[in-house]
Amino acid sequence: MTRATQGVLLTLVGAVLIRITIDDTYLRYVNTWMRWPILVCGVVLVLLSVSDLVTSSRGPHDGSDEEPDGEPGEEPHRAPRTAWLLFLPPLVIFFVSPPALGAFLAERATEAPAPSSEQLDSMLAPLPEEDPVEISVTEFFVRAVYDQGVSLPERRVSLVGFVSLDDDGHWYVTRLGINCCAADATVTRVVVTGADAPPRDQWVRVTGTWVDGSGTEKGTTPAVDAEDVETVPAPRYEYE
Amino acid sequence: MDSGKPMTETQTPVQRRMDDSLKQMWVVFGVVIVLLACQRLLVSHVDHAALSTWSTIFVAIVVQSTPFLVGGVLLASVIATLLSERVVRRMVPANPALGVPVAGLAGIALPGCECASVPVASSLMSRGVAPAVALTFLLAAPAVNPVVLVSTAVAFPGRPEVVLARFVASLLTSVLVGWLWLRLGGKVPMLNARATHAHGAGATQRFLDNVRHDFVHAAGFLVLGAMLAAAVNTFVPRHVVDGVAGHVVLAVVTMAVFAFVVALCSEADAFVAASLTAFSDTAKLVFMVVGPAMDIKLASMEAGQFGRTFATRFVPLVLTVAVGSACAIGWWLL
Repeated sequence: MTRATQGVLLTLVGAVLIRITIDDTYLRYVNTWMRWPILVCGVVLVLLSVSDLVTSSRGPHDGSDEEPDGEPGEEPHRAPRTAWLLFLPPLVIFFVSPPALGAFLAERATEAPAPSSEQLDSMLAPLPEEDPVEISVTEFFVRAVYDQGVSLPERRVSLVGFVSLDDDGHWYVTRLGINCCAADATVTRVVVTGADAPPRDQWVRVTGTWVDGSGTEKGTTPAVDAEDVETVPAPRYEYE
Repeated sequence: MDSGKPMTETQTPVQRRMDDSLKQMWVVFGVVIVLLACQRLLVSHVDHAALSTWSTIFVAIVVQSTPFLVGGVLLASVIATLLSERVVRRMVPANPALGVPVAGLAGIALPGCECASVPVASSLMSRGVAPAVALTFLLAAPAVNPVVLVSTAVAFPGRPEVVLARFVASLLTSVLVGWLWLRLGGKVPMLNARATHAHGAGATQRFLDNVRHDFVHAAGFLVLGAMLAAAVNTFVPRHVVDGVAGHVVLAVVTMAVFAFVVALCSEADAFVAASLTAFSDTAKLVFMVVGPAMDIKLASMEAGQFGRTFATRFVPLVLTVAVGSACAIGWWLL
């Protein structure tokens, strides 16, 4: 790959990184805290190719660009053929425009790991007085397992997540959690009873009450008895 | 990889080479523009759950790693441009056998992902640091830094012995590999695909050239590794992995292979290890020690940076030592 092509490549990769941070596409792939690193990285890559353009247009004949410096016979500005692969991610982002992970992965991912003690403290605080009270799928799950459900009876909760299924005909209101990027996604889900399953991957708000005693043992899944299931648009950041 | 090949091209007139190089650029530029213009026509045709999951994970790994790679490349170029060989020599003990443990401990100071450490190690070598010492640093930096240890502590709440075991096993791995490389690595041919821009250009120009060169060299291999890791993530069902958890030896081997192929960043792998509840603590430790030291993405990058002959010897060596020391430390501490 020639030096000029490398310039096009770096600009393309940099521009795509900048674009996905500006239009929030990056939230489909990585955690929110990656915003600034990606943006800075994109800017660095664009500046890098611009600086190269400036220096080579200023003096293409001064020899510093095209003379093979370093060892004789070596041509330092040619990149290996694998560098062409770097065109792939920007093109995939444009043409496949991969969506955030959904039911396909949730149905085969591992369960979310145990929360840390700080997360537990904040999640197990008394529920606010609203009715129905909106809590995250993870919080509902944690309250059932770690609090033995003491805060859940007699309360109407509403949970937002997407629909995933299992082989036994249950359906779940589901959220995926990521730490760094989508490669380490883990799943948290709650069985929904008393309502027909919406289409797979549809985002829903399930309002209902905790099924007494469900999910209090580790390795079991809590259940919510739905009184209302409404479809909602996917949130801006789809992971929890 | 083929940077040494086009001997004949240096003899052709400069003018013609420039024309060729511009031609390639314009073709690529044109193809990219046409593709971008057709985006709307093409997007809707790619819609299959498995394929779209693969592409999400593939893009995720690339997007996650690229800033770390650029950071590592910048740091490597700072070393290459600012630190003279004399300064580096003064900081690293002259005796490589002593330099190895020092490099291992120095890894504590550099929080970064493993992609960053390949160019850094390469630039240390070109500054006259012994390969064994630079490789120890390469193995230690992503594994024993504070960010990784804190995330391990978070993933295993109330289990400080897991953090300690991880630290000790990873440090042991990097130092042992360093010492073994001193004994065994002498005859292994090793190319260091790093341009030396010593003459002519000013310091800034040299710095920028280094950054661009290192990035373009490493990034292709990163993409290759990400493609494979995403395929494993998508197409190998987790219950296949979980199925072997009961068997002691099989569990350890599975976790080592799993760490190698999924190629997670070292800041995140503790969470995945913790979530694989079916496995024993020692098997989880193997996963966390092997992952930062060696995975498919790193192997691919190292083959690109140091040559294929190097990689075919270094990769198995690291895997063996990492599994061995993780098992020993796991048996002792967990």
